[in-house]
Amino acid sequence: MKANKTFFLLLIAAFSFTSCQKDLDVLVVDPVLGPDSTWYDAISPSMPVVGLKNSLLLDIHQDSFIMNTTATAFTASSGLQLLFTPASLLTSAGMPALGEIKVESYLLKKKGDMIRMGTPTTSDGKVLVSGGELYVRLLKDGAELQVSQNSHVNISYADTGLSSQMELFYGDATNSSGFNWLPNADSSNFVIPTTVQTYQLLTNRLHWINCDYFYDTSNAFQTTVSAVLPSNYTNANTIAYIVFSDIRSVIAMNGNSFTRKFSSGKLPVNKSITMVIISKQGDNYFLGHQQAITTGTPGAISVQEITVTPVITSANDIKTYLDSL
Amino acid sequence: MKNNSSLDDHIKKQFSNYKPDVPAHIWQNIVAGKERKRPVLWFSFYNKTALLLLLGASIIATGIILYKVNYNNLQHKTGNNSPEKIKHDPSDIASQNGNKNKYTEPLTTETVSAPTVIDPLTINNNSIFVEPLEKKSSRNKQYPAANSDIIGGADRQTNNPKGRKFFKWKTGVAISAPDIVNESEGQGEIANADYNDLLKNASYMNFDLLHSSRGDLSLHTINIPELNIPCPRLKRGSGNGYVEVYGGPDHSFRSITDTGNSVYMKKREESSTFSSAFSAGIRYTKVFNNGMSFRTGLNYSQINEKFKYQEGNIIQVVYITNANGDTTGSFSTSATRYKTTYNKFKTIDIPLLIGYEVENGRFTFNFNAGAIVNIYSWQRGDVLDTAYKPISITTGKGSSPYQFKTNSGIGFLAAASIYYKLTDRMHLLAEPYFRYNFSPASKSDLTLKQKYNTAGIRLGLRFDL
Repeated sequence: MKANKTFFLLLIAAFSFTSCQKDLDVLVVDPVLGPDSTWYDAISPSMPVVGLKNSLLLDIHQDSFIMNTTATAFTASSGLQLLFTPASLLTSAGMPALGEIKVESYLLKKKGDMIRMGTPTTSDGKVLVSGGELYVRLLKDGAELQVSQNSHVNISYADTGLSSQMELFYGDATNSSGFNWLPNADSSNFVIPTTVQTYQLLTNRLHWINCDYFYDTSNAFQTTVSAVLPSNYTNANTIAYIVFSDIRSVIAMNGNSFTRKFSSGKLPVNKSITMVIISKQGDNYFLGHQQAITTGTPGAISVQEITVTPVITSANDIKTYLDSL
Repeated sequence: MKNNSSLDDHIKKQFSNYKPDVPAHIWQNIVAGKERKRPVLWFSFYNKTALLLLLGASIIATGIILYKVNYNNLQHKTGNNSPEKIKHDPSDIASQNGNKNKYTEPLTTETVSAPTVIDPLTINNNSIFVEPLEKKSSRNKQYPAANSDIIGGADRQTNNPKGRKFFKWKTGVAISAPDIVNESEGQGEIANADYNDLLKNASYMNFDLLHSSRGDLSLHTINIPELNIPCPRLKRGSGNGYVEVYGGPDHSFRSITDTGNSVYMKKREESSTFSSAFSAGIRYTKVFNNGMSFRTGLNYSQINEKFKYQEGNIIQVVYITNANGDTTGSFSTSATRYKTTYNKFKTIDIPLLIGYEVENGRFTFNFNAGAIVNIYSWQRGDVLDTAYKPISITTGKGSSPYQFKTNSGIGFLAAASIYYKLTDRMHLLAEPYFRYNFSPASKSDLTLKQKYNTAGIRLGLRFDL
């Protein structure tokens, strides 16, 4: 009987021992404390802000026309009207381009579109008032065409509130500080004001072209505006702009890794502005905007800080908002 | 006293042929005694048949007692011989043993002279031996010692002036030479003429003492000497049945095959390892007289494996919210997933085994083999799928081609059962075994096949019916 008891106790103990192990399914987080609040001196293509900018870009307008030996007029789907004189377009070999020509173009008249395309209206930090930004690229057989030095392309587009102060500026996207407009240095290129609600310009350069004039700040106090944001908004994942309410002018706020802030250049005071903050963190989009009046004191460049708290939103909502600017 | 001697001679001459009449009441008494109904199992020393029966019973009883005494002595000395298993042939034992004492000399080897007493009844057997009776009667004569029940002795006196015989007899139970206990004696008178007749029918025995070479007048008893018992022969099964309960550890041998020696097969092999296994059950065995056995029962087996899965660079999004509950930020962190699952493969089977059983002292061996029929199988745990992600194989939870069969069919089982006798009806069991499954445990929906074979050792208790 004792042997029986011992035997069965051993069996039960053995069985219970083998059934005591518990399954395990755990997620061990790598040692990262909180969000990345690092500011960078240079933005690399892998950073979220690059993806953010790409996601906001407008779709380019693509058209084509047939170039022949006579003057050719063409209206692109973007709203640009193009007039080409014979042999005004040359191939890379320097030969006149004939036949089917493909046209890629933009016409930006909304301030929101300027933010989406990343083309603020500043020229070396000075505020520009834009009559419209346009982009033209011509291709034949996949190769880009150039305008002959002795020829011009006549580009016109409709607009309201025309200003005779408009001058030609050409865009420079190679500047590491951000997109910059450079004044036209070729006098053969110019803007022709018309009595019809149309801007017409002659240019022998394509790509980004702007009809602008400098905002006169000679007698205006100036200030710089900085954005106060949560620490998780850095130049690696955020873009910031100031939009003037009464003029077609968009000012980009550059991220400074030293001050860890987004700041504008000199802005005229007493101007109604809207600070727009757009961020992409992970797969989530965040939008914040704050209206304000630029303030400053005479005789000094003030620094005005505006606090914005972006909240999570979607990319479409951001586009919708920007369209309303 | 010269005249007296002449008178005696004269009287002798006159009564030499005298035959007196027996009083009638004596014969009547004798006849009445014969005709009196005896109770059942009535024993009388005057009945030869009864005496023969008594003698036979005495011989048998003596043999049994001798056997038991000798066997107990052996068990005490050797410690491992079952008395009922060993049969001694006294003649073999006597010839094997060289130790001799005065009680071990076979009495038949002694020469005796022929009895000189006229007596129709002589006894000559292994227990009681006879030797010539001394002529002179003596009440102090020592009677032989024997291991029989009762010995009787008669001492005849012939001197009777009236021509009648006077008898004395003694009965006694001897326990050891040369003592006698419980001696009783009696006497009676009978005419000479009837003496011889009476002598033939008298229910007494006349023991002749055997003179040994040393002059002992005692009978020798045979004691089984201390022997060196050789190993008993193997004995076949006893023709009984028994029930066993058992349990014990196992080891499983897993094989995984796939067409084309795929990478998936290698990943799946690496993802899980054997952890432990055991089986337990209850079974009945019937052993036939020729040693063959048939065994069946219910067996439960379980194989445990450890499944490990690790996935790194898992991106987790953490949201930042402000006091208003607005999500004001988010950030991603990378993490590693560690998954460990203890897979269990459980089966219930019915073994159908044929074997052969032999006994060897306290040990019994049963070599058996046969089919083991799976009744039901069920599993719990995870395995890798073809996308190298963990997928559940738990029976009853959904249906996927990665799950295992609920019936794995028939297998082959071979075992060697060793029993050690604890008591008359209980044995300790130790049994190494091997099980081979013909079919894989995995479903046929996949090209990958996973199969288990098992070896182990079972310990248990056997209860004889």
